[in-house]
Amino acid sequence: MPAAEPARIRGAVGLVAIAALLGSFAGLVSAASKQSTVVETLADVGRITGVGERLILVVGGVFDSSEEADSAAAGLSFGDMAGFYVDTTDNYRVIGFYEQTSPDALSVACEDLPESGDGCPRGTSVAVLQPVSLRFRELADASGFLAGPDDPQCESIGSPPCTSMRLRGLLVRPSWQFAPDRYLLVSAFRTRRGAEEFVELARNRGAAVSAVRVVKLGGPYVGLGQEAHPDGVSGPLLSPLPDPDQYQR
Amino acid sequence: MESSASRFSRVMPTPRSLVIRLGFALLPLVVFSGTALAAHWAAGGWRDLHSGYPPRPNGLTEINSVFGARCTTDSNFNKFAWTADGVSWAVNFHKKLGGLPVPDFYSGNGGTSSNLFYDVRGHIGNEHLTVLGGIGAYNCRLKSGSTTQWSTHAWGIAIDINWNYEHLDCHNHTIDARVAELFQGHRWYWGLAFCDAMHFQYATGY
Repeated sequence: MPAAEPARIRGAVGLVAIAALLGSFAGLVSAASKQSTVVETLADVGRITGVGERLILVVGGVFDSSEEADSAAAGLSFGDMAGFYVDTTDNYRVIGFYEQTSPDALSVACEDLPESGDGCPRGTSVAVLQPVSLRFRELADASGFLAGPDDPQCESIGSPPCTSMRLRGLLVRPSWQFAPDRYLLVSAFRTRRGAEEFVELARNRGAAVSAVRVVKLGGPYVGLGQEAHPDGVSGPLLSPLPDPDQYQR
Repeated sequence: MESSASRFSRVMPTPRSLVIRLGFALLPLVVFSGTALAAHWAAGGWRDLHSGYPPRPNGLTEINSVFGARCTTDSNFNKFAWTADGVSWAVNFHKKLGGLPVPDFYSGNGGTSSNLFYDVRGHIGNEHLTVLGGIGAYNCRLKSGSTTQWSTHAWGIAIDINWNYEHLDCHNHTIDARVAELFQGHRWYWGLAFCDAMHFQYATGY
C-alpha cells in the first residue's frame, strides 16, 4: 500500500529522532555531571586531607603549642604562595624517613658560570643552589642512621645538610615516632619529586626542613595536591596514585 | 631551626661587603673603559628583541587559555641562573615566556619568546641594575591562605625577586624602581598593587 509507506517512514524517522534527542540529552547530563565533579574537586583542594593514605611529610619544625607553630610559620615568607600548615603529631604514624643526598649548594668560580657580570665578578665564586635529591630509608634503619655522627662537613657548602641531626630532633626514642601532643609545621605530598621541590622552595626561603614518610591517621588539610602529576601534563596531582611505593621510595 | 641562609652567609660575603668589593673591582674599569662598561650585555651582542610574547591574560579563564594547565612540564620548562648576593638562584618558568639564548651569556633552554630571560634579565644586566638575593619563579603552590585559588607561580608565569629583604608591605619595599619599570614594560604586572612588591606576574585580574 503506497499511501501507508511514507507514513511508516515518517514514523520511523520520528522515532529515530526522539531516540537521538533522548540519547544526546542523556549524554549531556552525564558529561555535565562528570565535569561538575572535576570542577568541584579542583575548586576546593582543601578537602583533600589524605586520611588513611601513605604520604611524604615535609616538616619545617616541631613545637609545644599551636601558637609557637603559627608564629614560626608567619616568620617564613613564601610571598603569595602557600607555605607550611599546622597539624598535631597525633595525626601521623611514621613509617620511614628521607636522607637528603644532594648538597644545598656548590661553590663555583664565576669564570665557570654561564652567566657572569654584575652579580658574579671574575676572581670570585658564588654558591650555586642545587636541586634537592632525597633518598628513602625504612624506619628499621633509623636507629643506625640517627645514632651515627653527622658528616663533619655537613655544615659546609658542597656537602648535604645535617639530615640526621635534624631527624634526631624529630623522631624520638625508643618508639621512633613523633612525640604525642606536639605541633608540626608541615606540607604533605604523594610523590618524592613533589616533596623534593618543596624542600627546595622552603630551603631557599630560609627554613631547615626534614622529610618523613607517614600514614595519615586524621586531621585537617595539610597542603596535599600541591605537586605536579607524574605524567607531566595532567596538572596538579589531586588523587592517590595506584602504587604509592613507586613514587615515594 | 637551623637556617640555610646562615649556612651560606658563613662562607659568602655579606651584601654590603660584596658591594664594597664590587666597587673596588669595577673602579679601574669605570675609569678606563667608560662607556664600554655601560654597554656590557649589548657589547656581547644582546639587544631587546621583544619577540614572540604571548598576550597577557586577564583572569583565570584567559590564563588557562594562554598558558594551559598549571603544574605541568610546560610551566616548568625554561631554567636559568640569576646571581645575586653571592648566590646563584635557579629560575624556572613557562615555556612561552622565554628560551632564546643570550649571546656570550647563556645557552637557553628553548621556548617561543624572548621575554623573561632574554629581554627583561638582559636589560637589568645591561643597565647594571640591582636585584637582591632571593629569586625564584615556578612552584606548584596555592595562593597563601587559600585552598581554592592557585598562585600564578603554579603556571610558571610569576617571579619573585629580593625575597630575602621583602615582607608583605604596601608602602615600604626594596625593589629598584627601574627594575619594576622594566618588568612592567615587558607586560609583567607588579604585585605591589596587592602589597607583594617582590612579585611580578604575567597576568592581571587574578
